[in-house]
Amino acid sequence: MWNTFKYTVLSIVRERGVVFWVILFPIILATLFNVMFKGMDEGAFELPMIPVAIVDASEGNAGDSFHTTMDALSDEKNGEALLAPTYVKNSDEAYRMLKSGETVGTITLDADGWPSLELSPGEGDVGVSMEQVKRTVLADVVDDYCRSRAAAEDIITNDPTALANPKVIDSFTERTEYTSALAITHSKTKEYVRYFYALLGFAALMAAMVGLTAVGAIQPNISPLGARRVVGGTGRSRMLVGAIAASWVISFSALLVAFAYIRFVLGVEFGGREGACVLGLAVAALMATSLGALIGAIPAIPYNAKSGVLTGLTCLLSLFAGLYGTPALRLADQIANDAPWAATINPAKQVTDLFYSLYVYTDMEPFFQTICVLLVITLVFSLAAALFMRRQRYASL
Amino acid sequence: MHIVDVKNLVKRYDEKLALDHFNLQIETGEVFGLLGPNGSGKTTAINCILQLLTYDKGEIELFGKPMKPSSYDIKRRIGVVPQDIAVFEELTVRENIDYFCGLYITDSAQRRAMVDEAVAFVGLEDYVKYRPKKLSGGLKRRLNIACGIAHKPELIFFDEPTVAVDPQSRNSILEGIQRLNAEGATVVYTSHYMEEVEQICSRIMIMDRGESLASGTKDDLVRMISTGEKVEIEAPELPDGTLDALGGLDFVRRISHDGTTIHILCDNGPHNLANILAVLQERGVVFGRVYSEPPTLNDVFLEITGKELRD
Repeated sequence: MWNTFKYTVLSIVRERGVVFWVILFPIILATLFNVMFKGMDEGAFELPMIPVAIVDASEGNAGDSFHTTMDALSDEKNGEALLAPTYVKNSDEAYRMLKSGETVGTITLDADGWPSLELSPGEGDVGVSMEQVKRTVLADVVDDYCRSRAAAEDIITNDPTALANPKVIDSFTERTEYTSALAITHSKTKEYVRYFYALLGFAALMAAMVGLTAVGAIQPNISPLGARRVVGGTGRSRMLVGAIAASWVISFSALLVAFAYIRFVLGVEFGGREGACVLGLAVAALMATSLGALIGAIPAIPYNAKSGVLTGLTCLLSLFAGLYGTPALRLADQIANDAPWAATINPAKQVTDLFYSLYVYTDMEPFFQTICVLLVITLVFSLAAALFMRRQRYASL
Repeated sequence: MHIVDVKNLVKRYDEKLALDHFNLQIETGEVFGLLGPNGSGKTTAINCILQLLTYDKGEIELFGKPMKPSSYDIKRRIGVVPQDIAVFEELTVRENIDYFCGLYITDSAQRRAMVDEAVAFVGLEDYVKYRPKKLSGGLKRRLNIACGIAHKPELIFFDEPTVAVDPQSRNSILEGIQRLNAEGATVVYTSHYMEEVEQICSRIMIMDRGESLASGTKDDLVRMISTGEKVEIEAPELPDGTLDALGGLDFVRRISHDGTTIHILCDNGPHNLANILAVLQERGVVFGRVYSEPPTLNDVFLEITGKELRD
């Protein structure tokens, strides 16, 4: 058994095709994903400073409070500047800037310092665009200023003594939040990580190539080498155990390399649960080995054809796990919603979910549920492989 | 006790009868040749004996015990050199031999010595770190043999081990098989090359269409047929009536003269050459060199089946 284990490992790690597809290809793909997807979430929902033109026609100190507000909202020192105001001389210049797209809106202060807002029309916007968001924010800023100023002036006019109360003064500047943000996920979710998890699902299926190669090389009806080995003095079950153990070790190692690259070189997050990830990779490698053994044990099909079948299956199942970009991700989600059983029996999706559950859920239960699903899939694959491999003699070779 | 005892083995591939009540008994210490054209059932017989193939009927015993797929105690005493080269392309020569030896011998120290010996036996000392793809066809064949014999089996099956090898490697392989036999191994050797079988086998079975047509030593087989020796006599000038006189001898089956040489095919019998030469002397024929070639296994095959062995 040790003999078979040792030489199976040696023969497979020296096979260039396996090394490329099982070890190098996931790393290459991860690098490409890093270029393509990683910037997707970073800054995607950060509101850039909103350019606005201000025409000041106020008299005396009437516009001071507005200018103070503008200064606060455009102060870049605290890193949260919302507006980028440009003071212009007249409305013609403001209109030119608005029309040319240099600004999103124009705020004009009247003689009493009250602002009025003119926004860009935003024609042709479909859905919720960043320009729409900017216009909405700008309108909210002006509305908020007007409400606060009106309230203050009302108090000054009707109950000036109230201004002696600091709470009243504070109420002009404080905002009461009636809703609170509740973290329902383990980590701050980033969409792009799902592609890397799907990539690990893909890598797991590619690793099945190892099991296919190792088990195929023991099948007498597949290669002369298989026939030669079976007539040797070692029991076939012992050889199988050696070959499968070797396949698992290689698959697990390949997945660990891919994981380490994604996690520590590309910096993709796994919810700070790297230990559980390793457990998940071990189970994924077991599933991959059993899948490879199953395909490797199918009789009367040459090795190259089996290899093609496995590659095709890997690509197809990875599509339903969301590997190939946003449309595939949406498709995977839709399948998971509309036909959950189809997602359940897809090992690529299950491996993907393994890491997603670690990343998203605070509770470990979804992770262990996925582990159980993968173990059941492994068992089914193993039993089916055993059915093919139980024959010790063949009608023809 | 026969080391190999096969009785009434019947094997069908769908409608085709591959082995038809095949019987084979081999004694310990023999080099037994299975001779027959491609498709005659030699490899099928070996694969059935080794329990790789199912068979429809028959009994197989090796070392006096029934052979089953799980008879690992028997399998450990057997060496197999298959027709197709069956080695790991990614392992070196030494690793391949060590792997196959390890299927029989678990002790690594013992195995190391055996691997060294096998490497030396097939003359691959200079290639131990090479992978098979770097080896020539002949060297690959030698590696295939080393993988089959490293564990010092008592019974070795060689299935057409010289296919597609150069004459030098072929001689080396045949000499090696004779040495293994001299060291005590019983050898079952299949081939469609009659010269090889004639050269190394102590007993021969001629097979065709899944049947055993004849079996025995080469001399036994030759005696079984009516064809005798082929005689060639250099005689550029023949007096009139000489060919008729020779053709009149009752053992002469066919006679011709190509201008320089008389060609005579005889029936099997004693003193044929002496009688031919007596006729030539009686007629005063001046002749040069005389060749007499005894019947070959090809003649045996031709007479039994009506076709050439290499058809």
